[in-house]
This record gives sequence, structure tokens and C-alpha cells, in this order.
Amino acid sequence: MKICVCIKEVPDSDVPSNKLRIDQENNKIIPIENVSSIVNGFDLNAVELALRFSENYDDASISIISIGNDLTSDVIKKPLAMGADDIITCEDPIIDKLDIYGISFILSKIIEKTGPYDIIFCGRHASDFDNASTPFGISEILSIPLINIVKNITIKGEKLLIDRVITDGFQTIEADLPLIITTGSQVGDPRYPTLRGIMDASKKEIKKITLNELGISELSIAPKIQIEKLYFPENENKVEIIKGSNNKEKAINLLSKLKEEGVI
Amino acid sequence: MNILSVIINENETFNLSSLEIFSFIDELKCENKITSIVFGGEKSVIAKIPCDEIVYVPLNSSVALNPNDVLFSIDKFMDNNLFDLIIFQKDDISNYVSPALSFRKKIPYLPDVKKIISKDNKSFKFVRPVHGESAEGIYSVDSTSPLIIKIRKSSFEPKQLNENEKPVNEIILNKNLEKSFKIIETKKIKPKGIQLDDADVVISGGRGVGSSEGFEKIKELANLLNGAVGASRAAVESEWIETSQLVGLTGKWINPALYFTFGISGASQHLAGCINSKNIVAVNTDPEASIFNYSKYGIIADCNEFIAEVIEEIKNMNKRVVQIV
Amino acid sequence: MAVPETFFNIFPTWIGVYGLAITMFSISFILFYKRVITHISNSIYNLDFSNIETKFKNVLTNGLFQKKVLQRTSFTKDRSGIGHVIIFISFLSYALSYILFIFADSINSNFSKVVLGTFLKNLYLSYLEILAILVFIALITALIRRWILIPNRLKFSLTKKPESIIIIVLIASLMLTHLLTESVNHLIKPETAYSFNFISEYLSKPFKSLNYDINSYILLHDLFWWIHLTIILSFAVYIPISKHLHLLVSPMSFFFGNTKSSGIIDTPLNLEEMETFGANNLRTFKPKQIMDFFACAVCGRCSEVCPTNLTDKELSPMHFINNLMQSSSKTEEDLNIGVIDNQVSKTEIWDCLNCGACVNECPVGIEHISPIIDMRRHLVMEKSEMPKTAESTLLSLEQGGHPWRGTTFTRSDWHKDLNVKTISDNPDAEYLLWVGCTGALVERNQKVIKSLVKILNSANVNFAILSNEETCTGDPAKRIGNEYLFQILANQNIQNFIKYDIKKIITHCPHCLNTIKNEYPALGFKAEVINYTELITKLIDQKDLIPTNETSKTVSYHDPCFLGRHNKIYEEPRDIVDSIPGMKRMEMCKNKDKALCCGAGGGHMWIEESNEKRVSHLRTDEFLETKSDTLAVACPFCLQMFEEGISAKSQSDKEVKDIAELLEESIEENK
Repeated sequence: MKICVCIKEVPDSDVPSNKLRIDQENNKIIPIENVSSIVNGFDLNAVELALRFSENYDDASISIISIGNDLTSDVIKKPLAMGADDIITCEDPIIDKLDIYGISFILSKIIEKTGPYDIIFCGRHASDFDNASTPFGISEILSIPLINIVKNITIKGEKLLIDRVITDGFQTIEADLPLIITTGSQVGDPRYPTLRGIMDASKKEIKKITLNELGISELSIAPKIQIEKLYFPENENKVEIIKGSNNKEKAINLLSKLKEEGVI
Repeated sequence: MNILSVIINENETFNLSSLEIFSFIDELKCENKITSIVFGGEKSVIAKIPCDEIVYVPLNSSVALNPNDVLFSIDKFMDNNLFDLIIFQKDDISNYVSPALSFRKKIPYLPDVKKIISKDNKSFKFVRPVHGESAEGIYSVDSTSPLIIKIRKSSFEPKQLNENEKPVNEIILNKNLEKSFKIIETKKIKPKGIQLDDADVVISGGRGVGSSEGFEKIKELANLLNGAVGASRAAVESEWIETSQLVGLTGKWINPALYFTFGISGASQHLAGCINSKNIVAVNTDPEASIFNYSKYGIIADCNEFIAEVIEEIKNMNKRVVQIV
Repeated sequence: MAVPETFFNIFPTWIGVYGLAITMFSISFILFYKRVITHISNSIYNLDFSNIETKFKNVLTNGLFQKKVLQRTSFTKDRSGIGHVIIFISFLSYALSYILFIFADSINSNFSKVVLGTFLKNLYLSYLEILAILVFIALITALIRRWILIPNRLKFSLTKKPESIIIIVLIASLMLTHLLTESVNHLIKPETAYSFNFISEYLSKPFKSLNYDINSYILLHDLFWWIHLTIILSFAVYIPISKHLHLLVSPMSFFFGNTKSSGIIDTPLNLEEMETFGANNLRTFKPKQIMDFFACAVCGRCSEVCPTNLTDKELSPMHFINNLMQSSSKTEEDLNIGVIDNQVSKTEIWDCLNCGACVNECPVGIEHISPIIDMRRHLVMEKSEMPKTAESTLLSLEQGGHPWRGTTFTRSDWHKDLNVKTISDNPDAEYLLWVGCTGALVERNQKVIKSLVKILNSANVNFAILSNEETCTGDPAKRIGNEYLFQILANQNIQNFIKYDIKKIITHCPHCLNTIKNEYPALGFKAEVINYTELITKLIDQKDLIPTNETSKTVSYHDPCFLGRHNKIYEEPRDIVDSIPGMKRMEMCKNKDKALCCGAGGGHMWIEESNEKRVSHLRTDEFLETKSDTLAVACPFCLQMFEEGISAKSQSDKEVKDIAELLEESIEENK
């Protein structure tokens, strides 16, 4: 059972918005102080689901695939510390400037080259640009069916039973391999890596592939959609802080205001 | 421009918020011919959609709608009709179909568009939120070749339905028998009480509430004001309230008349789901909390202490009303 | 004491004595070896023999001089320490007498007389008789106390086992047979000079009235004598199979015990090579920890003061240690399964607040915190199992370098508008002020640091801060059991200390104090680390700080566990409060090293308590009993816990303030 999980290194999404700044040159949003980057939250959910799925098979292997520019080895090795087997990356400055087509294309090529995989896991979207599209790109390029926002997978004989999250509910889907699965937080918390996992992971080599080795020319992935500018939107909102010498007074003041305006 | 607008109605009723697409099209300010392809919904309402041509795909409401079938149908429909711009909006099916269609047809795709900056002979410039809605980006796309757009919910006003009905072209749902999966079961969980989607008043709790006991007070206040209960991710992850009540980027997007928050700091991922509320009132101990940048009224107080006062005061107000009556 | 010449005319006494002694002592030794020594030697860790001088001193002070046994003695409240000292002294005295009067004299009956001289020998015998009476009194009080009066700490089924009665009976019968032997002896031997054994002489009277002939008396005497010897030797065999084992093991525990601060947890430097992290069975516990399991005398002092036990949680230190001792009787197979979820539950392991009250009270030298942390290390580092909130705290430490997940502050926000320099701007500063994560990132605690800064500025102290270069000391990680993460964080800080050549550090938070001062040396960092109260008292003494503004507040000071009990700083905070004009200070019922924890230690600032009863509320009640207006604290965790406690009890007219805040109010207009 060959499994792969695509992950992305992103700025820490827990940093509050008032502590972010824009890097205009690279069209990126980064924290003001040096906060370490993380593996995209939903991608860790994908790793968690992949690990759980792999426990059904004796011969399962999980490969992690990640592309980017100047990746931080400690950060992207976290899935290895959690239990994945190996990691393959492609790093190149041009990747920072690509759109979802370029990204999907490179990922698909890596999957082809290091595959074939029985099942591919991805996070539903990355917390930096929220496109939620790359997995669909891989699905179309490699012609593998995709099921999105999956919570759980159970094995039923030759088929898989997949719990998918929809608005206000769940769906159970029956499908065959190969498949692409995207995950949200409904999978559950990603397991905390054991210390042995961390130590073993730090000793593992990252397998690096270049764009050349993948046979990808810069032209073939030239972006069709360009980001011209990133900015923090102007906020003209003016909040009125309700005054009062104690909570009771503040409550009374607030409610009378809301009543006056017909809100309640 | 030849525009195709895609509207999905999984339940039998026509989703009126899908009319936001047409306000968006109006803002494009260009000559256009609008075709709407509508999956499901009441035919009589669909006939009044403000567009030029209406194509209706009736659905069997007892069978779950498979996004691959919708994808396949639109794919085949586009084989016979050429479009410059295809517009989707946010719902479970469209979230799946729009990016997939883009890759299948090799047409560029831009999701969550909230504003049109400009359009000229060469390019469109659109604004979409990024980084959990904490910032925005201006994206430019080639306007001379086809494009798929998904508009951001509540960024445009829903346009009015026409007075008169138009003739509707019916086609059948094209089922994708090859590359697909089988939906065996669909379970809708209707949480008890007033639904977030319909409520005029939503009382929401966050990290500051601190416990599931604290959420009992939130529920009490919601009851008193005939509202629904909402929550931030912190509250849901701490298991103080069910996931179904999550308001935010990956949760519910609502716009009630009153959105009353307790102990929510205002992370952009949460604001994404409630920013379009008419009145936001925030209670937080931290005067620097982001939520105060987006709320009409703010109270600096411990949320558990303050909510107790609010509940008591409302009960007093109700008593006075009863006395008067 | 007169040694019989023969064993009822069958064989010479010395054969009986030595034959019996060798047999019984051998059995005793084998039992001791199998029960205790094998486990100690099976541990994968070695004994630590460094600082031998201090180790011996520890045994002398606490073993021979019974310091900890007597530390709570009060004639009105707790006399049990005196009782134990009496029995202990009598044990030593009688042991000496056996060497001389039994083992030596049975070979040559004049031995003791020649060595001691008649006067000294008789004096010693007289002394032994007086001791016997005192021991009887002590034993009777012990019996009444443990079985009838039953104080709090002896209310458990563990403390009411027959073992206690057997031991009392054995000791009593030893004393009795000794007196009986000596009494009958009076009727055999003629009166000698310097004979002042009044007690046995008095007791000989009933025997005299029996009017036996001298040979019958000799028979009676010899009977009592041999019975006495048999009881001594039976006792020797009973020791290794009962809680009286503490006789042998407690000196070992004191020898190998902590020689520095009780707040220290070990820092293994070879994590990469370790066979296993933490401990889950007797092989993986350390020798000292194994000794501790066997040293317990089931006195209950630890559980009596344990905050978790006082709030009815699962953890009770005495039971915890005894359960771990029980694991020694399991088979090899069971040993491999491990103690967690068998002898010890995960709830107990996570209940512990690391407050050290148990360690402080224990009269036999047990250090309860140490095995708890090792079991946490096993759970966290081997199994990645821990309470959810502990996990997210560790994640926050890994990613953000602080435990306060969800904070919207950065470490430089609090001093934006203050007159504070960073160390890079002021490299020649005399002191580094270590702010700590809580002081920098939690709003209520920022106020305290700001007060402290104002105080230091007003006394013109030349200090600087690390600001954004500070990262957590790593204490929460260490206490939760992630030793690896602790060392990573600690080493980051140490690199910065070296980079800026830091020699003196002032800390506010006692946990930071304990970690940097007591734990960092194991990683190679040494500097002068003081608590802010130590500096401030000096400044007040030197008149660099003069509190002028009067107040009419009444204040009670709560000793933080990590400042007080673990680091022995009790007086300085009190002196500061006392220097404020008008301020009246009232001690709480449990203070200084007896203070009850606020509930936030051992990682519990971020771990939920396992039941509804909150330790912080218990201590808050103790504060409310004093009727003071203000609860003075010197720790950012105590501050948070008590503010919650006060508000939960709706005592809005009471306030919780840090010592720094109280002082700042008094020097406010004083620039």
C-alpha cells in the first residue's frame, strides 16, 4: 500500500492579524517577529488520516511530498516524526511565484516519478492563500478521482467507505483505489510526535528533486494568474466602548442602546 | 461577454443568495449575455432569474447529488456553448466543481472574489481575501481568454428576481459513470434550536468563555433573545459546544442583525464568517483585541461576569414589560 | 546483664548465640537482598556517589539526629516526633548493649566489665532500664494514637494494618523481657557496688516473693534471657518484610538524596543514547527512587499535607509510594507491562503539583516528585500520551517559545512605552532582568512587571532585558515530562546568556528562578541568579528605595512553593511588606514551608484538575480566614489562581496583589 501526503510549509496561522506584515517583494504575509513557520494545519490532519489508514496494512509506506522555496528542514520533517517514512522535496525560487496550475503540475510530476501511489492525501486548503484548488489539479492531471473534506476511511473488503463532511452533515461514500483524499480538521488532532520519532526523523535524509530532473521548463509553468499586490484592507470601523462603573451599569447601557436602535 | 452562471439547489428550494452572482455581473459593467444553468429548485422561481437564458437541470431530491455528475454535465454543456466567464458561488458542490472544471477545461480559476477593481481590454483585476481573511490581494487575470470565478459569499447584494417568468430550457443531469464514486448515505444533522443560518440574533462564545458551563450562559442568553448559539474554533476544539455551531472561515458564514460575542479575540478566520453581520457587539478583557476593530459596540469586561449581568438585565426588562402589559 | 553460661546445660551459650544469630541474620540479609537490593542493582541506572561529604552529613542530620522527624514537633499539637526519637534512641542504645553484653560477653563474660568499667556498665544498664519505661509509654501512646485517637494522617486503611501492632508488640516484648531478665538477675547475683538499677530492683520483688530456690531463679533468668535473644533475632528477620525496613533503607535514602534544592529534577544529558525515556517499571526507575519505595514507614505525614489529597483527588503520596513498592513483588512478566495503569494510575501521575510538601514532611527521606516526573517522561516522550491541554502547551512552546497559546501579545509589547533598555542597547548593564513568559504575555501579569521596572528604575538599578530574545526557561516542558523540549529551550537561553556575557540575573517568577538557578547548571550555565525580593530588600536596607506612602491595608502573604519551600526564600517578601508604612501583615494558618500550594505547579497552570474541588479555592479559603484585605503574592501563577479563587467566591472587596505592586504604590510619587 503506497501512500503519499502533499504538505506545504506556511507561516504560523496562530499569529494574530495585528502581528503580521506584508513582504511586498515576495508577495507574502509573514509574522512581524521571528516566528517559526509550520506545516499547514490541514496537511497535518491529512498526515494523521494517512497514518490511521496505513495501520490497516502491514506493508504500507507513507511518503511526504513538499515543494517550495528554501524549505525549513525541521518544520517539514514533522510528518516523519509523526510516523511517515520518507520525504521528497522540490525547491526552487520560481515556485514562490507560481499559481495553482504550476503547483499542481509540479506535484503531479513528482507523484508520477516517485509513484505510482495507491492513495494520495492533501489538506483541503493552505492557510496562506486559501485556494482549495491544488488537489483538484492533481486529480485532473493524473486522472485520479478525488473526494474532499474527508473525516474517516474504513475498509470494506475490496472497497473503501469514506466519511465526507458536508454542510450540516456527513456523507458516506464507497470508492475504489486509486484516490485523492483532502482533509479538514474533522479528522481529529494530528498525533503528537514521540521523541523517538523526532530523533529518527532528524536523522533521515530529504530526497531532493530538481525541476530539471522532473523535465519541467519554466515556460510550461508560467503563471496565468498573478498577484499584483497584497495589503491589509482599510478598516473604517469605529467601535464605541460602552462605559459604566461596573458590569451591571455597562450591561444596562448596552441594552438600552441596542433597544433604541431596534436591534432587540 | 458570454457568461455562464452556475446555481446549485441541493434541497428543493431555490437558494435566493445565489442571486448575488447577478449583482456581481452588473458590477462588471460590460455588455454580456448571461446564461444560467440551474441544478434543482422550483422551476417557477427559476423562471424569474434575471438573466438571458435559463437552463434547468431537474434533480431527484431522494438521491444525493454527486459533484462529479454536476461537473460532467457542465463539461458537456460547455462543449456545445462557448463562454468567456463562468461564475460559481460558495456551496458544497460548487466548491468541488469549480476548481475541478478549471483544470479539466484548462481555464484559469479565481475563488472568493469580493470586489472588482478594474476591467480593460487586457485584464481583469479582482480582489480576494488571503491568509485566513486577514489580508487582501489584488489579482490580475487575462480578460481575453476564458475565466472561472467563484464569488465570495455576502460580498454582493442578491439581485431581485424578475417579475415575469421566462421560458426555461430543461436538460437532464449527465451522470459520470467512469471516474466517480458512489454516495451511499447522506446524513443531515439538524442541531436543536434555532439554526445559525436563519437567526436574526446570534450569541457567540470563544476562548474567553473558558468552559462548557460558561456556554450554558451563552445558550441561556440566546434563548432569551430568540437567537442561535455560535462559537469560535477555540471553543469548538475545547469541546465546549458542538462543531455544528462553528462560525468562521471553515464553518458557518452568517449575517444576523445582531452578532454578540463573548471572549472572542477576533482572529480573521472567525471574522470571515461573521463580518457581514449588521451589528457586532464584542465583550473581551483585552482592549487591544482585534474584534474591537470590527464591532459597533465594545465592552471591556470578563465575559462570564458580563454575560450574567446582561441576562439579569434582560430578565428585568422582560419583567417590566409584563408589568406594563 | 548476666549472660547464661550454657543453654540449659546443653551447649555453651556462645554456640547458641552465634549459631542463632548467624542463622537469623543470614535469613534477614537474604530477605533484604531479595526484596530490596536486587531491584536496586537491576536498575539500568547507576548509583551516584558524588558529593560524598554532603551525603554523609545528610545521613547524620536526618538519620542520626532525626531532624525531619522532629521538625513539626510541638508539645501542644504533635508529639509523635518525640515518641519516635525515644524509640530510635532506645534502638541504638540497645543495639550497642547487644554487641557488648550479648555477643562479646557470651565469649568472655568479663568483656563488657573490662571495656566499660563497672561504674559505667551499671550506669548504662540503669540508663537502658529508664529507656525501657519511656519506650513503654511511647508505645502505649503510639497504640492509642494510631488505633483509637486516629489523627488525620493515620485515617487510611494503609496505616491501620496489623504490621504496626506487630512491631509495637515486638518492641514492647523486647523491653519487657529485658526488664524481666534484669529483675530476676537481682535474685541471682549478690549486690555489687554502683548498683542503681532501681527499676529492675523494684520489679524483682514479686519474683522474690515466689521464694524459689536459686537454681529455679537461674532457670527463670536464663529463660527470659534466651527469649529476649530470640525476639531480637526474630525482629531482625521481621525488619526486611515489614515497614520497619525503613530502619535500613532510610539512611540509604538520605545518603543518596538531593543535596541541593528540592526543586531540582534531574537533567539527563544523554537523551540521544537512552534506552528508554522516563520510567515505567523497577528496571527503569533509578536506584534512589527504588530505595524510596521501600523506605516508607507509613506515617501519613506526606498525604496529610498534599494539596491533591486534601482535595480528594486520586493522588495520595503515601499510597502512591507504597503501590510502587508493591510492584516489586510482581513477576518478570508483570514488570515488563509496567506500573502505569497497574500499580499507579495516569490520573495520579498527572495530579501532582510538584509543590514538594510531601518531600518536605517525609521523615525517612523519600522524594516523591522524582518518580512522578519520570513516569510523565515515559508517557510523554515514549508514548506521546498526555492531557490535551498539556499537549497544546507543548505545541505552543515548540512553535512560539512560550506556553501561552492564544496570546495576542509579543514579548516587546509590555515595555513599548516604558523606560526599559534591551541588553543589546545596554550591554554593560549590571543585571539582566528575566521577565518570564507570563509577565510578558498575560495582561494581568504585565502590570506586575511594569511595577517592578518602575521600582528598579526609581532605585537606579542598572538592568536590561532580553525582550524578544527571551524564550521560555523550559520549566513547563520539564514538569510536563518533555525533557527534550526543555533542553532545547534551555540551551537557546544559555546561548543568549553566553552571547551577552550575563553574570547576574534578577527573576520575578519563582519557577524561572528555580529553573535558571538550579536546573541550568546541569547544562553548563552558572551565574548569580536572585529573586527580585532579595534585591529589593537590599535596596530598602541601603535606603535606595524608601517606601513613603502610607496605607491602611491588611495583608497576608502567601509563600509560593517554588520561592519558599523549594528555594527557602521566606523572609525577604515579608520584610518588604513590613517596610511599607501602615501596612499590617497577618500570617496565614499554613505558612513558610508549610504553605499550601496555589494549584498551578507541576504544569497545572495548563492542566485541568481531575475533580471538581479546586486546590486554589482551598487556599483562598485559608486566606479569607485571615480577614485581611489583600492577598500578597510573589508569583505570576499564584496571582492568577487566587484572582480566580477570589472572584469565584464573590469576594469583590478583597484583592490580590504582587509584592512589587504593593511596594510601587508606596513609592509612587517618590522620584
